[in-house]
Amino acid sequence: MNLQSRAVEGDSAKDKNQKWWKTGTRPDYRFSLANERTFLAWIRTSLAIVAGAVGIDQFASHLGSAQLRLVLSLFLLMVGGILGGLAYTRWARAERAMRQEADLPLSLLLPFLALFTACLSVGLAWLIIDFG
Amino acid sequence: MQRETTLARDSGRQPERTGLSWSRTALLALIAASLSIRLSLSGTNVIHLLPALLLAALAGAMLHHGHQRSRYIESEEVVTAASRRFLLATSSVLVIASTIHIALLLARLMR
Repeated sequence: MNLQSRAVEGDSAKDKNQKWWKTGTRPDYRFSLANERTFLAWIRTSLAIVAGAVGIDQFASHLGSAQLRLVLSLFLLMVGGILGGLAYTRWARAERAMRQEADLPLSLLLPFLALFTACLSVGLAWLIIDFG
Repeated sequence: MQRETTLARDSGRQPERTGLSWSRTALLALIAASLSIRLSLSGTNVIHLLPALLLAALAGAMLHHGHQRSRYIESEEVVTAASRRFLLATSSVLVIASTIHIALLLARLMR
């Protein structure tokens, strides 16, 4: 079966018969391992954000007001949880694309993460200077 | 010829890099778990302990999985992709642990 006929059939019809991790061809193992390490890097990012949230909630009792700490912790936990979940979908999408020799999926997650980290650093620096 | 030597050199590092990646992620999970223990002191309910327990279990499973995996990669010529279920479980544990944290924080807010 070539790529064209697969595209004509449509993915949904094919997905019912076969799981995506069995379609296409197995990619070079080095690419799979790189994808796995990227997954782990996202997991570490998520873990670090969750740890930061717990740290702000439990260990930074002098930082800002109680409400502010609570809001900040909740926000960080949400971002951490979402990133943890997205780590898997990103891994799966990349793995699937590699199996079907398609382009790797683009993602807006990186610029968002960069913006998030920058805003967080500025905000925390301001908090520490103001209330520290 | 050149491809073979490149592959040989590369395959020497792949298991190491992947194994180390697993173990440093496990280390971070352990740190997050130990920070979360403090959270369990803030309540008497068993659910306060759950995030710490989940993260600690995740750290242990990751260490084990990474160790197994780097040994496996070293021994086999052809390597399959990561265990999809294990990665899914890893992601899920993080989502669950942060959701419990959020619930605990919201519960404290309600009090």
